[in-house]
Parts: sequence; structure tokens; C-alpha cells
Amino acid sequence: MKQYDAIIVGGGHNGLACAAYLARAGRSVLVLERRHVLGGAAVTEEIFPGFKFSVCSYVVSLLRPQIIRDLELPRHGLEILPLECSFAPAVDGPGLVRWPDARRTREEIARYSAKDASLYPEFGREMAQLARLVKPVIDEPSPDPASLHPTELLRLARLGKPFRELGARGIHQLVKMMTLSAADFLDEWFESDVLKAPMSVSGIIGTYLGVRSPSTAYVMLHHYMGEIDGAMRAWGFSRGGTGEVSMSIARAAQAFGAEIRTEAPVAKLLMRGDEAAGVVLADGTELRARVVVSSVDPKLTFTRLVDAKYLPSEFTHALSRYRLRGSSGKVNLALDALPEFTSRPGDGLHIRGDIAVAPSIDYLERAYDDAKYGKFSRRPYINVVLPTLTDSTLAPPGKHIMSCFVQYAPYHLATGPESWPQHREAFGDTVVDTLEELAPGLKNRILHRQVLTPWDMEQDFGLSEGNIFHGELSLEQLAFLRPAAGFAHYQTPVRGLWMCGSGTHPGGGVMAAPGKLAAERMLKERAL
Amino acid sequence: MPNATPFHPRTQALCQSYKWKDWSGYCAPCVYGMSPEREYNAIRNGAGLLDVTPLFKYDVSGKDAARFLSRVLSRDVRALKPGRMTYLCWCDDHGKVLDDGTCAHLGDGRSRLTAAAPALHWLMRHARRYDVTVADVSDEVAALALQGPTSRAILRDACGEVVDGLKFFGVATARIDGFEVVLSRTGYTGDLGYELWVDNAHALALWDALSAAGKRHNLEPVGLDALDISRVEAGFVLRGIDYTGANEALIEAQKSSPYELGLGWTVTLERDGEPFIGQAALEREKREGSAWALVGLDVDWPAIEALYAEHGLPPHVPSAAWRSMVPVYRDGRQVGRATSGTWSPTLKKNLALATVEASVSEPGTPLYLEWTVEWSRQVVPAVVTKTPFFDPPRKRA
Amino acid sequence: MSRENTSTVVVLGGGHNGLTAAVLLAKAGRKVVVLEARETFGGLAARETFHPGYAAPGLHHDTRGVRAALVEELGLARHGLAFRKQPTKIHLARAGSEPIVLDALHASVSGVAQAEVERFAQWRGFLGRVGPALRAALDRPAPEPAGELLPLLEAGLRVRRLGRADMLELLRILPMCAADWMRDALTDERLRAGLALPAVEGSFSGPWSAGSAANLLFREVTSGNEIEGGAAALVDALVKAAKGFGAELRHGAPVRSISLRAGRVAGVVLESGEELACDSVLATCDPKQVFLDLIGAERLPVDLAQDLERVRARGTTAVVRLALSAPLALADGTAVEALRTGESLDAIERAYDAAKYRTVASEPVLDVRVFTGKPHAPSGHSVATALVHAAAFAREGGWDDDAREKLGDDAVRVLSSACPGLEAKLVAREVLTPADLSRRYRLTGGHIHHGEHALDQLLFMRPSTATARYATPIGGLFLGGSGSHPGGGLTCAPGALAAKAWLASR
Repeated sequence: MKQYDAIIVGGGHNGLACAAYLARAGRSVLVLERRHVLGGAAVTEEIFPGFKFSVCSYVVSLLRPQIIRDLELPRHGLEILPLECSFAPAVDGPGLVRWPDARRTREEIARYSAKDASLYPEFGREMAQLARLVKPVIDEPSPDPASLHPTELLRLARLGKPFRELGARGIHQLVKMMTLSAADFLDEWFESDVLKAPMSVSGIIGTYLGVRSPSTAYVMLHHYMGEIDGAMRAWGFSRGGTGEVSMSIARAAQAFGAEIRTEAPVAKLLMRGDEAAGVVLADGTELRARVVVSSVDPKLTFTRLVDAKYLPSEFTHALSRYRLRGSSGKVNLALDALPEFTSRPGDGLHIRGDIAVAPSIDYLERAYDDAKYGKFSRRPYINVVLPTLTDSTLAPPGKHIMSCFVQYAPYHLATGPESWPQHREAFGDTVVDTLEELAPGLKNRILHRQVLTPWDMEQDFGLSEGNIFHGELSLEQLAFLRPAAGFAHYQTPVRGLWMCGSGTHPGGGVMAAPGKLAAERMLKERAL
Repeated sequence: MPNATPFHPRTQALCQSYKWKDWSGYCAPCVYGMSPEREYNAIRNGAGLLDVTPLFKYDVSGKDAARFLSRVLSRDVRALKPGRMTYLCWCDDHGKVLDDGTCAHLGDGRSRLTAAAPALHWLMRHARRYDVTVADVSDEVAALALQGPTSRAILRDACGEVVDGLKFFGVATARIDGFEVVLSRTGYTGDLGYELWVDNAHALALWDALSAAGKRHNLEPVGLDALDISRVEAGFVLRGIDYTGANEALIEAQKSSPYELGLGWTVTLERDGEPFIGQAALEREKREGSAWALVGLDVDWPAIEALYAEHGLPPHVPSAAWRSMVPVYRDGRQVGRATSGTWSPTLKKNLALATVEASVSEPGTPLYLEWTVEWSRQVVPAVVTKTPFFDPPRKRA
Repeated sequence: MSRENTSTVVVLGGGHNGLTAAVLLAKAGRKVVVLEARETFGGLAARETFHPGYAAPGLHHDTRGVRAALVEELGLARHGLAFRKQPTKIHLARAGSEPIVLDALHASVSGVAQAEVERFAQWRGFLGRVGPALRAALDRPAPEPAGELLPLLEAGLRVRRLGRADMLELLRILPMCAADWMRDALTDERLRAGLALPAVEGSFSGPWSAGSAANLLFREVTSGNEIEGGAAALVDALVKAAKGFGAELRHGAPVRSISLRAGRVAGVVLESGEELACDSVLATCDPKQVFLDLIGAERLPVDLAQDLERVRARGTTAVVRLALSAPLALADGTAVEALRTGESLDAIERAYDAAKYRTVASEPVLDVRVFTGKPHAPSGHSVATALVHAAAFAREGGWDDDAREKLGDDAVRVLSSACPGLEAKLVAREVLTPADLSRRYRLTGGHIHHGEHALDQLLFMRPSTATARYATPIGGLFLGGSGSHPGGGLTCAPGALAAKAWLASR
């Protein structure tokens, strides 16, 4: 029986990236995907005839440029179409569009506040400066402050040096960035709610936090990282849907010799003594490997794949406190015609970017308050994209796809997560009603509707508690604490079992960094 | 997508080159004809008419206007009399220049500040505790520069003898065809010249009136290329080219103090009352000396000719001014960078503005400037020279 | 203005921090003048007779934060200050069942299942282990991360010495929200809520807000025994000690401005117009007031002014004082010394929700302390003081008499449900909205801690990086109030550290 060097559980973008890097280093690799399609949450599926939905993840944000270069993804079909502007429609008035062009953006903002308009570029520069400091943190494994190993201490010192060079005031800015709420942070700069609300939402996407919750400011930095990545068009759609990101990585992996199987659900680890020796598939097939790498989330990994008896109680305890409260849903619409926003009717550049339903800070915060107490938002924050305006491969000519990312849809409803199926359509209606207020006539243009609740994401995509990031991105669950102290370097308490999913450093999003870093770590540690 | 200024219907009709550039979000002609030389000659021998609407303009009024401006600006403008304008800069806390511009006292406690970059939030941040109103009139006030030896005659024909009494850096109000124009005897060419400020509504009428009056006085519309040649001759620094505004600098090394830019003469350190922003830092720099100095360079022409000759080429200089960072050396060690330069048609010299280490900034100091012919990088001798390179008496007369 | 006066240190504010600084400076032989705007000393610790015969010993009623070592250093025992031997019992009332009773030092808990008692003991054990390292950090000036390496390494080492498990747990908890921390540690919702309540005091946050765990942690690890007689007893002793060392204490002396000459302190101008020349001012009023009102942003470096403008001080705490004709008692007649309402974490969170939207919680959460008999009230009578969460200083539409009375009614109603029969005992009440606190105690934003306790407003960042080590960029001006490290509440630590910083600078 063949023994692989590595078996990767889960064919999402991280699992595939890990496979590609291991295969590139000459290792024999097998990727096992439960579903019939690859991609995990970065997947494209033809849900309705002729309409291809990026079912879950819908924009490519922080896909690491180094990975694009290393794996030559463009050669394997990756093409990213730019997502250029951001439109916040309003019930009355023109709303706000932030354009790639500074002058136009300034004029837009000046409608609401001349002061904010003149300050906006300076804000961008300060963010870019701070983003420069954060970049090495997400491109490298996290140092462990509890370790006394000289290399760890050196790494801490090396990462610490530029921080010290910032000076006390600069460090204070950074602390603010890391700990303030998005609303408080923006309050330090701007006065206009129409500007602050759509800016603040990047701080809450995928989190179980509101725009007034401390520690939501730093995610805004991600928006400014594209500029310094050296990668043009860092934000955009992948042609053919987000699934094409996964598919291009899969093709790269295959080109390096990796083997990929779909419809191959893994039942559990195959153990030899207390070491992982491979996996057992649901149909009973046993497959052997020197290491097993799990790209599914930590909760699933350590409750389903591994028998608890192999785990130290301290680790089980730490994982029991690992929080994955999913908070978002997705509504995918197939449209007969483009929506008409009363703010700015008609087709135009403004709807080719993302469209944020975020009229005010209080609106967003109230949406969160609903979720806090176990209800989906009566008036949610919605991030809409119309990828068919830039990618004609996704729908029949003249028809459109409207992808709506919705927050908040808390996994833990007051009536229990299992009650989601009873609320699914009401949730979908809420989303459509909210949009109908901004774009009257939308309802009549809907050909098909797919509503994805966090419960569905758990059931269909294996995302525990419907958390799109495999665990909340709160400070106490990042870096050396992700997913648990002492296990932030992709290893696990079970010899031969490694992790490479979004539940490891640097976390979720279509970055593929955990997959790459895990592969590099395994190679460095000579695990295989 | 740049906007059109209120003069656009005229400038567009005249601009045969189709060469435009984005100036603070407005489209501005680089050159009307095929080469800027004719327009440059208008500035130095006749008169040039230039649309300068894209400058940022702020009106400051209220009881504390002068006190407030003196807090924000490095120059004490409390003594600025109605009808006077002055050139100045403003700094951050650390005495690094944010921008340079002019401040005019328009009377009735109203002042107008011009800036190269948006400054509204900076002004408003500090305005809170003063009894002042800061209004951004950038998009409401159109502006023309009328520059050159015949500019006075044109203006006298257009609006009468109010021009005769107007001294260098004086401001007055005139009426042309029933609307009001603010005149200032200022400009960015280092020549005799005026700037005219008018409500957008009357912009075209003003253009037409000046064009009509200019027919007899060799008036030409001029673009930014010609302006750039003349401003280098005049030794004027340009924000974003010769220095970086401190609020746009990404690193400390990109920032400059007024002393380093040769604008020390605009800084009023001795004053009563509240210190201006950056005063403590500038006092320290004045005491301890500056690290850098912005100087003029007279680049040796025969040496350039010789370099071209080595490649079998005739000497060549571009007809427009250049603006790129070029290393400056002394004894083989880089001591600074030239930031813009031009062939001076009037002086028949090759000129540059450069920021160099203070120790090599004395006039007469021999330096070397990198000069590339074909693909070959060489150096040519250049001598530190006092600016302005060109300073005709008519400017102040 | 006479020349010889210029060696005087003028202490602005006669609150507990101002008086502490005065004692230490006077003890070191300096000439000290304390200027207090009100007619009584003590600030938020001052005794307030709010109804004839009934006095509340301080707006702050938690005196656990005053360090024994500092009391010793100030020599307050000689002036009658004593710590209580027994910790106060805190009652966590719950509808329809036995209350949970905690002691204020968390040494014991009753009214919960045995398994919960064990979990509580574990939680308490963690506090006990990390306490010394944190106290060491909070009892000295905060090291500046871009400054000297030694104090930083020292602080790092103290944390490292905790051992791997506790250190990692500490790092995990610091950025967390109190609700998650409590849920990790305990299962009894009533106990979680009762323990978490101090986390939201003086911060614009609810138990669900990240960073609230740190606020709770710092507060609990610095708590010791209470002071006999409450905050007022502390003030009495401080006043005597200060006078004993020769400090001049002036009340009814509100300050209008601080005069500068060439970037240095030149004196202070009182609202009466009187001018006091001096070259040193140690200001214990809130930092926004010191820099933005008493000096003025236009006279400050831009960065400093901006930093101070950005200090968040949004008051959310109101105060209700009740004069009662009998002790405060639960339904079963048990008299209580201290009581916290808010039966669940969500109940506290909902109260905070109101403040977020610039309104007032209609179900406020109360932290109540009861003082029975002399000297607080006629014998057999009592005084109950309640810190009421949450009422926004920036209430939409402003604060008026109706809003104040509604707040008082709601607070009494909430308390009555835990203590039936309360209304019948009510002799008088005083309600202080955040706006009232702002006026009476001169607090920017009505904020009782002189600036929110948030992760970015602590340590070397409190109140701003340039002013966090008590000296400021203005020559001769020092800060030493609750707006400075280690922050608000009754600790006297900022005043003491400021006085020491001043002495060290000479």
C-alpha cells in the first residue's frame, strides 16, 4: 500500500496551498475533499442553471502575492479583476462613493464634510504606514513570547525593533489601531457618519463584534495593505468566481505532482500507537502517510478526526474555550436585470465595486445588538457585489448575479442554532426587504435566491458554528494564541498531525498564508 | 477625471497641442502651441495669461483672524496691512514645512490664504478656539495670472489707473465691466505681473476683457510648461517637486524645514503672544543650524557640450523644464540631489534647484551634477549660485 | 506677584490625589499650596451631606484600592486612618432565590453550587498568582516601550516569572471582554455578572466589549482591605497630614488658567482674578481640563493638543444617594453592606447599550454600598450610595430635571426589587447625573476616572505618551490625578507617583 509523505484533509484554498508547497518541495501529497467540488469556502458552484455563484467567499482580498508568484497561479488560470470603488447607497440623497481617484473621492466626501474631505488622504497615508508594520506579522509564523528558545527571542526582538523605532507616540497609534473600536478610531479623524459608517464595516466582517466594539479598528488596516504589497489589483474578483482561486492553486499543486481526490470524506485519523499514521475514509478505506495535515477548523479537527484520548487535557481545555461564533450569512441572487439604486439610478462605474448597506454607525451597531441577544439583524449590514458586471462568464448575457454578504446572522440564535432552517427564509426576506428600500423593484427582478445561514455553512461546508474564519479573529485568538497557546506553529499534540487552515496564524480570509506557512514549517522541522 | 475650471471654454478652444495635465484635480494646459518657447517669451517680453484657478484658496475672517493666522503660519501676519499680500509657509510641530503660499489682507478683517495642497482640516483643527471663520473658496473663486513686462499696460487698459498705485505685493479691488476683481501684484514667474481673483460667474468676462486689452500688448495664453521655466529662473520652490509637504512625507528624511528650503526669511521668530506652530523647533534649528540647504546650481554648459560630443551628438536640452531627482556630488561623494531644472532661454544657462548638505551650500561652491547622455551616466561641473537666477528690476518697479 | 513665591509648588485640586501629592511634597520640605475649587476637600472622595443628618462618605465608595504601603508612607495611621479587618460582604441578589454572597476580597463565596465554589477558587487563585506582577507594574511609573530597555525587560521578566501557563493565560485575557473571561471561568450567570460589574465602571463599554477583562483584572488585583469609615476618613487623614507637614490648603479657590512664559509655567490665575506666581504646578484635575481649558490648545504643541483632544472621557456613570430610616435589607430581612444588581451579563450589556445611543438605561445596573448609623446617618438609619450604570453624559436632548428624576425613580425601582420595602424607608434622595457630576466636580465629560479606562488609555499612554510619566512638555507642569497612570478610583497612586516624579526632577 502506498505511503504518502502527506495527506491533506480538506481541499479548500489553504489545504491546496499547503499541498502545492509540499509537492513543490518534492513530497508526495494527497488531498482529500469531502465534497464533489474543490475550494471549501472559496468555491464557485452553478447553483441555478447558467448562474455560477461564488457561494461563500466572494472577493479576493489578501491572497498573498508571494504565493501568486511562487505557484505561478496566473499560469494556472488565476485572473483577478479589479474591484475599484465602494458605494454606500442611501434611502435619500446620493449616498457616497469612494473612488480610486483621490480627487473624485474628495468631492464625494465634501458633500457631507469639507473637513473630512481634506483629511481623507492623510488618513490613508497614516494607515499605509501602520500597515507596513503589520505586513511582516502576517507573512511570517508568529513568534512565541512564552518560549525561551533563542531563535524565538531573536524573532521577537526583530519584530519588536521597528515598533520601538516608531517612538512612544507611534506605538500609541498602533495600540489604538489594535484596541479601539472602528467607530472610536474613525471618530478621531472624521465627523461625517456617511463616511465613517462604510469605512467602519471592514472592521466587523466575519467577526462577532460591532463597530463600537473595541478591537475592531485594526481590520481596517487590511484595506491599506494592498497598496504596499507590491501587488497591483490586490482587491478584486477572480474571473470565474472565487472558486477559480482554489482551482488555480489545485492545478498548480497537480502540476507539482500532488494527487487530489474529491468525494472522499475522511472519517478519522489512522493511528499507530499515539501517532497519526494516515486517515480512514468514510467508506472504510485506509490511507497511510508520514504526516496528516488538517485544513479544516480546529474544532472539527479535534472533535471529529482525533479521538479525545490522544489529546492532553490542557489542550482540550484550551480548545473548549476557542471561540467560533459564526455571525454572517450569505444571500445569492440571480437577477433578470440590474438593480436600480435610488441614490444613483442606472448602470455605472459606481456599482462595479462593492456596495455597502451601512447608512450610519448607529444602524450598524443596532444590527450587532440584535445578534448579541441571539437574533438576526432586523436591518442588517449587507455587502453587495455584482460580479457579472466585470465577469461575463458567470451568468447568461444580460442577466446578473448579486452576491450579498450579510451581518449579523448569529449561529447561536436564542432559539438554538438548529432552529435556523425555520428562520432561513425570513432571514432571506429581511435581506431582500432591506435592499428593496434602497433599490426599489429589486424583488421583481429576482429569478432565483439562495440563502445561506451559518447553520448551512456548518452543515454544507464543514465550518464549525458557521464561522467563515475558522475561529474569531479577536486578539486573544491571534498570533501565538491561534488556535491555542503552544500550538501556534501548525503542529498539534498528536505526533504526525499538523494544521494548515484558517484556524492557524495568520487566520481567515482568502490569503492562503496559513497553508503556505504550515508547509514551510513542516519542511523546516523535517516532519516529512 | 479632472474637472474643468471656469476658464475652460476659452482655454480649450485655444489649446492646439491637446497637451493637458491634472493640476489638483483640474485639467490645465501644459502648452497651447507646439513648444513652450513662444509662451515663455511672452512672459519675459510681452505678457502671458495663465489659468491658476486650481490653487487652493481659503478665506479667513472674524475677530481673531490675524491672531489665528499668526498661530498657524510661520510668518507673523498681524502687522499685514489691508491691501497687502505676503509670501509665507506653514509648518507642523516639528518645524517641517507643510506647504507654502500667500496670505492677502483683503480688508474688513478678511484674509485670503492660497495653498498648493488642501489645508482646510489643518486650518480648522486650530481654528476651534479662535473667533474665526475659515471658508474654502477654492471652487468659488477663479484666478488668472497675468505676467510679463506689458502686464501693467494691459491691466491699465482693462481696469484703469487703480493699477498705477499698486506696489509689489499690493492688493486692490478693481471693477471691470461692472463686476469686481481683486488684483494682487504677485506671481510665480519672477517678473512684473499680477494675479486676478474673481467669482466663477465672471471668469469668462474677465478672460475676454484681458484678451481684448492684451491685443495691443503681445498677450499670449501660456501653459504650465512655460511657467515652470520661468519659476526655476526665479528660484521658486514647488511643493511636491522640490520638497515634500510634511503631511505627505512617508519618512522623516522626506521633510524639510523653512530654513532648509531657503524660506527662512519668511519665518518670524521674534514675536509676542502665542508661539506659532513649530516655533520651538525652528528656534532650535536656527540656533543649531540646518542639515540641508536648497540652492541654485549653474550647470557648466561646455562640459555638457563635451559629453554630447563624445557620443558624436550635438548638445541637446529639452525645451521644457525637468523635474526628477538627480544626484549631486562633491569629491565623488553624493551630497544632495537636484530636484528641478531648466535651460534658461534668457540667461542662456543650464539651471537647477538642488537640496544639498549645508556645508556645501555657500555660493561659489563647486559641485558635480549627474548628467546622462544616451545611456551613459556622467557628471558635469555645477556651481552653487544665489537665487533668483533672473531678477529684473521691473518686477518691483 | 512676589519673587519669593516662585519656589512654591501649586497643587491643583484638593481631591485624594492632590492631597496625597501635597503630603509627600510638604513632607520633603517643599512649600505647597493646594487649590481646591469647592468648599470641601476630597473631590470624589469628599464627605457629602445630601440631606440634613445624612452624609455619604465619598462619591467613590470602593476604598479597596488604597495601598497599605502608601498609607504607611504618608503616615496616615497617626491621623486616625485604619483599615477594616473584615472584608465587606457583597450581596448579589437574585429574583426568587437565595442571594450569592461574596466577600470583597474574593476569599469566599456562598449561595452557589459546590462545583462553582471550586471554579471560583480557581479564578481567585489565578488573580492571586498574577496579582504581584501586575501590582508591581501599577505601583510605579509605566515604562515607555520606545524608551529605556531596562525597565521594559524588568516588566517583561516579572511576567515571564509567572510561569508559562499563567503568563499565556494573562496574555490571553488582557485583550478579552469580561463576559468571555467570566464564561470561561464560571458557570453561574449571576455570579459572573456580579463579578464582572466593576469591569464597566469608568469605561465606555459593556461586559461584551473587548478590553473590559483588563479593566476588571487591574481593579481586582489591586484591591485590599477597605478603609474604616469610607473615603471621607481617608480625606480627613490626608488633610491632617498635609497640614501637619505645613502645606497650605485653600478651598473655594477655583483656577481659571495656568500662565506660561516661554513654554514654562509662570503661575496660576484664580477665577477671583488673583494671580499666584510659581514655577511648578502639579495638576490633579482631569488632563483635558488642564491642557485644553486651563492652558488652551493654541498654546500647546499641535501633537500634544491633538492627543489630549483625542482622550476619550465619555461619562456613563450616575450617582444616586439614598437616606434611609433603617438599614437596607433584602426580602428575607438580611441587612446588606454592599449589593450589586444586574442578574446577567446581558443585563449589564443592555444598560451599556443605552449609553451607546446617547440615552439612559431604563433598567440601570447598580453598585450599592450602605453605611449605617453614625457618623453617616442618625443611629439606626442608613445611607446607601449607588453608582448607576449606564447614563450617557451626552444624553440626546441634554439633561433636565425630568430626566434626572426618571433616572432616580428607575434606580430606586431596580433596588426595590432586590430590597422590597425600600420606598417606605426612603427619607430623601439625591440624584447626580453625569452632567451634574461634570458641574459639581469639574469633570470633563462627567467622567469619574478623568478619562476612560481603555487599553489605549492606560500605562504609558495615559493620558498621552508625552505626559504619561507625570512630567509634561510644559516646563514645571506635572500631572497627578486619575487621568494619569495607574488611573482612576480611590488609590492615591497617581498623586503619589507624580509627587515623586516632581521631587526626582529637582
